[in-house]
Amino acid sequence: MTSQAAPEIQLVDLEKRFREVRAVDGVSIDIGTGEFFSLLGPSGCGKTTTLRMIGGFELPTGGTILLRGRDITNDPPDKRPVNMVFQNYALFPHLDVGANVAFGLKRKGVAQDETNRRVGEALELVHLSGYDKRRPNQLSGGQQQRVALARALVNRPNVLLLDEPLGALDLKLRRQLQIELKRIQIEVGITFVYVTHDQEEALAMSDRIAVMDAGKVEQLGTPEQLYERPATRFVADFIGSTNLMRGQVESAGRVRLASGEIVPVDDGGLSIGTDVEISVRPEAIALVSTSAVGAIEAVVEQAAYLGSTISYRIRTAGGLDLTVLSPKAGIRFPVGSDVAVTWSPSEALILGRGRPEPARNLEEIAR
Amino acid sequence: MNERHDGSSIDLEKQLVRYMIQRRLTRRDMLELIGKVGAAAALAPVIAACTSAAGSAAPTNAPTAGQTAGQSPAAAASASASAAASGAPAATPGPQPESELRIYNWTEYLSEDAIPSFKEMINATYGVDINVKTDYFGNLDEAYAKIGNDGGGFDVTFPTGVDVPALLAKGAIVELNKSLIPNIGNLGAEWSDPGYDPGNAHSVPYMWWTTGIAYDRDRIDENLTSSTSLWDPRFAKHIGMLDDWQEVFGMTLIQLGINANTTDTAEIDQAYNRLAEQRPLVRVWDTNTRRMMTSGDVWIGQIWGADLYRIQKRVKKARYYIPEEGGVKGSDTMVVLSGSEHPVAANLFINHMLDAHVAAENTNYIYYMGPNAAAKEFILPEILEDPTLNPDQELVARLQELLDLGPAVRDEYLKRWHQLGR
Amino acid sequence: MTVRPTQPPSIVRRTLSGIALLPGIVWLAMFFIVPLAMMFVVSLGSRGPADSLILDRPSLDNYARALDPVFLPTFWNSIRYSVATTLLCLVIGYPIAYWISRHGGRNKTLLLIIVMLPFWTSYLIRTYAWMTILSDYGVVNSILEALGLTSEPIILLNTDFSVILGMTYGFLPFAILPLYVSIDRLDPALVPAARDLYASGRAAFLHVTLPLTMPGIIAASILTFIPALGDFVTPDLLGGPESTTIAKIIQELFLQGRDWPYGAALGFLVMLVTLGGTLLALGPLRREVAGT
Repeated sequence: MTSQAAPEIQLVDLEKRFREVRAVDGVSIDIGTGEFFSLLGPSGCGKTTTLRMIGGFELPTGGTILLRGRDITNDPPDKRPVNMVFQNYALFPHLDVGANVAFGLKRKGVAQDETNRRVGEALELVHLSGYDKRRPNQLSGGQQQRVALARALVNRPNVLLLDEPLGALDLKLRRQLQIELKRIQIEVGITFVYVTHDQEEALAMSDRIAVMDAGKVEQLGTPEQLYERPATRFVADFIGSTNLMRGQVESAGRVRLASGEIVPVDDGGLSIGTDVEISVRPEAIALVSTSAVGAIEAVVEQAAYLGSTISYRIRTAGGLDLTVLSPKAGIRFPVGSDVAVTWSPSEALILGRGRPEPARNLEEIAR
Repeated sequence: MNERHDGSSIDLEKQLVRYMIQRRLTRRDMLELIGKVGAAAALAPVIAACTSAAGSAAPTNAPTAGQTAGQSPAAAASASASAAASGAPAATPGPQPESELRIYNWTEYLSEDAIPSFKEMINATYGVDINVKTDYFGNLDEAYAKIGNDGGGFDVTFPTGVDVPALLAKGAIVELNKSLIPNIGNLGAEWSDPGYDPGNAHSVPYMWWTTGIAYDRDRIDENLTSSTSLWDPRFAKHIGMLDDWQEVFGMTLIQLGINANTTDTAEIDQAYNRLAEQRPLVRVWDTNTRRMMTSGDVWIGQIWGADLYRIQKRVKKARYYIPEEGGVKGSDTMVVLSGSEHPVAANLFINHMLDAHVAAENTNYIYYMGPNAAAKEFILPEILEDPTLNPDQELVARLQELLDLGPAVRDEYLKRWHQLGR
Repeated sequence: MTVRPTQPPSIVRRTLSGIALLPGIVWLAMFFIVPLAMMFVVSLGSRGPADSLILDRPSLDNYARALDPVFLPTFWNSIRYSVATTLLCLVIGYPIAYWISRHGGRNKTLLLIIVMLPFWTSYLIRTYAWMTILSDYGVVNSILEALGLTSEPIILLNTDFSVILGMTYGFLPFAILPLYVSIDRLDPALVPAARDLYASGRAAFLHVTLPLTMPGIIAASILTFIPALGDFVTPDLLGGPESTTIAKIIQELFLQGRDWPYGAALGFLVMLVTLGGTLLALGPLRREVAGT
């Protein structure tokens, strides 16, 4: 990650209001040059609207958008050095692949031979050389997506926006294209702003992710930061899966859960008696023998073989349900057996102490 | 009146009609009168006339010409129609009319009384309860199409006089049975024996009209007399002509001193050239003269005389004149159709229409002049005195009738007519 | 997703579809082909005495007569009225259809119904209404005079202007509907995509919207041009002496000239021209449809 003086894109207090509803509510983000940046969240969180505002397809009702320091908030899309890959590709059905890809170049008045050359390059980049005479309706979904990508990249924009481009594809193809996209981004070196609701996808591809909910950024960070240190319940729940528990601080590093058990936590210097919510990832929970000291006793309710791991659903005497992910090499516990679980205190995060300030500048993140 | 028939109420009605005609009262006047003085007082003289034996002698309606010897059903028929309360039993008339009659006519072209009086007359004279059905047409093209070659299922219709030869040639009409139409003698001399139907062998004129010019006195405050006023550039784009090639060419030819029915192409060309001069000044060609003259767009237009009174309802100062160069007259006639299944009734109906009173009543109702000389006595003075509806006899004699010129000549006119179109 | 070639339909299915087409074919045969054939036969005949029809000596003479240059001006009238009407209907109808499609929202159907509403009144009555509006003392002139803009009536009625106005008004729904269908089917993401690719609003329309709605435009043109060519009521009522159309001439040949063969021949010629033009226009339409 480069630390540049001026970020590629700056969103300052961006707001989009429809009547009384704030689809985007005070979003401030800096995106660096060459970064693969994702906007992640459930439907309706405002990520697509934010993306569209960057592209110029929605006019913000508040806030500013800066591109390399220049205010482009009110510029129409054709005046922004930014290109978009649309969700359903939006390939022009009346033009062949070559003409589709050349469209932007034609509009900018690029000379014919240079256009041809660049179109060839773009198609090669997406591994579709020789497809230039095909019609969009003769292509598969994956191929159409790649044409859409080529059509955008051929213009050498500063920023490429991608609106859930892999949504319409099946899992295997999606995985393949995720790798492809990452490869292309690194090769071309431009900034990607990627919108998705699939957290695995975001984690796999992104340099940084902004997790959004109800128009606001819940947390902004690297995949590891978001996963390991979710700031809010929402982020913890949205990214990966987790076990959420409520309780009160019993003593330093210990919380008494509502269901009665006393569990170790990552101490945050809270006073005794404070209500807390804690998050423990399933894979951080270890299944131990029942005789272990300090372990929580439970019964195996369900066991699922997931291929590389085994997922257990256990229930404590106090009625607490936990999901535990165990490597398959190890003791297998059948349903109904008594088990005990434990985790290291650092794995149990205390959530919801207010949303931390979203890390705005990159130096903060690098820390 | 025939004793077979209880004629009291009908008798009263007949007397009422006669009374009104004699006193030159319109229906409206009568109703006003009743309103003012009460029915009894208004109708008293009528009732008196009814009860007086033999009443006032019915004015001439007994035909003199064409009366066949012996049983004269027509005479008896018209005698009954006149409501003279002569108790003399009429001799049983000749052929029995059929029980049905089908008429095909313009709308609003018979008085309200025409068919009822006919039905009564038939009932009184022949004891037949005749069923009269009327169908209506709005224009001649439609009518002739429906009539086809045999009458299209009708018995009597009202074609334009000009078209009678064509209908005859098609075989659509048959010769009239003059023995059933003694009233034919009521026709004025200038209408008997017309050029299109010598001797009235196949048709009898019903109503006639003139074609002339109407203008709004409010907009054109002059006394116009010539058809050249339709070419006056001062009225540019406010001139209207009939959408009828024969009428338009007719008026133009007459203006140029040529016979309106000329077959000479050189003369037709002259008329064409004259019309080409007029073309840029003309606002519209329309046969709906009321529409043409009442919108205000047309200040002076070629119209059929009888349309004036409808135009005057909107254009109060509308005036009509027949061009001093001469003009066109035309007539509607009555004919019996070849496919008619009720020829006796058909002829009797025609005869009934020729009855002086009936004819007068028709004229008074539809405001067209009839060719019936005998009826003149009973026609409303406002019609008789209106030079539009009833021009000077001498003038009428000078007017020309538009004839069917045959397909070849018609083509010559039409070719030039189409050329005027653009 | 690759497109898999479909199996040819089974015999049963083809028979059933054939039967389903039957009513349409019978209708077309009875009310289109048969009358057309009759007219053609009449056009080969000649007019006999007393305006009768003689069919036993068929010849193409009437067609030779119908090619008379005297008809060219009126034919030209018909053409220029129809072309003007079609163009105006497209120019006015396209924005309306576009607006309804893009901004109609929940009221789309209602708006379309409103567009169609005049259809439910008689065409003749609507034409009469125009006469009242455009007459020297009609609505327009009265308003102009009341506003002090004119001191004398402007001649609006019985001109080319009133004819084209009346015809455009009458045929506008014919144009709006096919245009709407075509525009509505447009992927709404295509114009933003074009804008994103450096096309101005106008360029986006020209390069994306227009070519993709071309089938609708062609359909609208045909649906307007053909009836307009045969419309003689509107030019007759709203036009002046210079507004005579070929349709009026044909009518006059039938009714006043009583020369049915001649009228039929002329009518057939007009129809051939219309048909030819339509087929020419359908060429690109078929290619468009096949291409998508």
